[in-house]
Amino acid sequence: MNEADQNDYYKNVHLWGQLTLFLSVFLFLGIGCYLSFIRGLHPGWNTIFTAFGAVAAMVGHTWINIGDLVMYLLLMGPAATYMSKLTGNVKNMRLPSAMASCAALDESEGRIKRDILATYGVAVSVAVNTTFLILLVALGKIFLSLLSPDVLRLLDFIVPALFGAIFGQFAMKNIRAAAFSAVAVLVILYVPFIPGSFKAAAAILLSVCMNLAFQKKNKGET
Amino acid sequence: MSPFQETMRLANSAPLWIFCLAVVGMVLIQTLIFVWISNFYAKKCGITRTQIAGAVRSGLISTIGPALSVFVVGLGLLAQIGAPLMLARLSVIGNAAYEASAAEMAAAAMNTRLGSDTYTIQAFTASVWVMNLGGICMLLPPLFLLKLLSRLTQTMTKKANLGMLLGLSASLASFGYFAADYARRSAPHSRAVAAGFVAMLVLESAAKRLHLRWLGEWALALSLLIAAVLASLVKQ
Repeated sequence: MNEADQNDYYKNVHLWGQLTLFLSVFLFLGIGCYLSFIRGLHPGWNTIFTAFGAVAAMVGHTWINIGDLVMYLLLMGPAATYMSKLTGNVKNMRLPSAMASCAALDESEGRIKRDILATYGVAVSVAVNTTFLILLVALGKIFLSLLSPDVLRLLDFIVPALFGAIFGQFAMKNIRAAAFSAVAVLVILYVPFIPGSFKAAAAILLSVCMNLAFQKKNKGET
Repeated sequence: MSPFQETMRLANSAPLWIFCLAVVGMVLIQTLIFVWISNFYAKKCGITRTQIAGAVRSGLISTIGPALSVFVVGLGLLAQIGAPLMLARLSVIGNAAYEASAAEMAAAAMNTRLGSDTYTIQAFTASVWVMNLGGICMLLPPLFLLKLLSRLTQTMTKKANLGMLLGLSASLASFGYFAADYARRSAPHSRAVAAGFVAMLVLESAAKRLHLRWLGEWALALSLLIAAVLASLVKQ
């Protein structure tokens, strides 16, 4: 694929990504405005901002977490990131799905191929999620009674198993890099003074640095 | 009619359905647009149909478990904020735990609780505002910064020509980190992580040695199943 096409792809992705996020912001405001001002149910800005302040204190750090954005970009590209940010559940659903989708791809392939395959992964994930939620609205409680407690218990272990399995899939491509990454992760995990929300990004940074350093040394020897 | 019944009537009324279906529609439209763009450029950069099918299959397998968990939390919200709002809020930025606590904090600011008899239509409106304002705050950084960040990371990886190793070690570290983080939670969780890892290694190498393509394609699904069953079967 030539350079022009590639630039074209990323230009289109950003155009549509920004447009859809922008429209969503207005939709979100619309529901509140309708209830407050058309139906006359306004609870007062004081009340809203008191509660909003409490929410901001609780999760506000994730709103400005640029490190996570960069991580998503590196792992799944801009299209999948726009979709993930709009649909939420990034770390437990979109990211695993996107990564699983491009795990089979050879690492020597271009970044645009990975980004496109990751987009399919997130798209499927959104489709499944929406289908489930619509089922929930339609069938509600009948559905849950069909799932036995044993099955529900099983669900708890799917995600951890997924992380282990995909780590294994990547490890088979480059065992050395996997070993260095494992060390990096354990070091970061047990260093006490790194705040929890930065640990994932810190682990990635350390792993990248260790692997790059090792690669250079290796080249110097040969 | 009690205040809560009045609230539930509003929460399930036609205008609420229209707004909330519009939000869900927005998500679906965005997905369709990006799939369309992907289809168009996939041809140009030589991605085969088989590769796309594989990507869709892997995405599907890895999303069913987490989606079911969201389903279970959604059931709780269904009774408290009504079907339309639950559907909208869990379709966008839908971290169920966040939505529930945002709605709860708004209720608390009105001196009431979710699902309580004093959860009035004003308190419901406050919940709607707080959940949506939080959602907007999560959208603003990607809306304004993603393009810039994307350009930065691209020139960085291009200049250093390190894309390959960078991607691989970043992937390894993020999966390793999440895996280790889960493993620390409990013994069954760590068994699930370890079993998933080992099952994957065994199945993938078997597929390669014996040239079984189908086994390679289903290795992920099989390892998840094996690991989840092992983790929940072993006696505590």
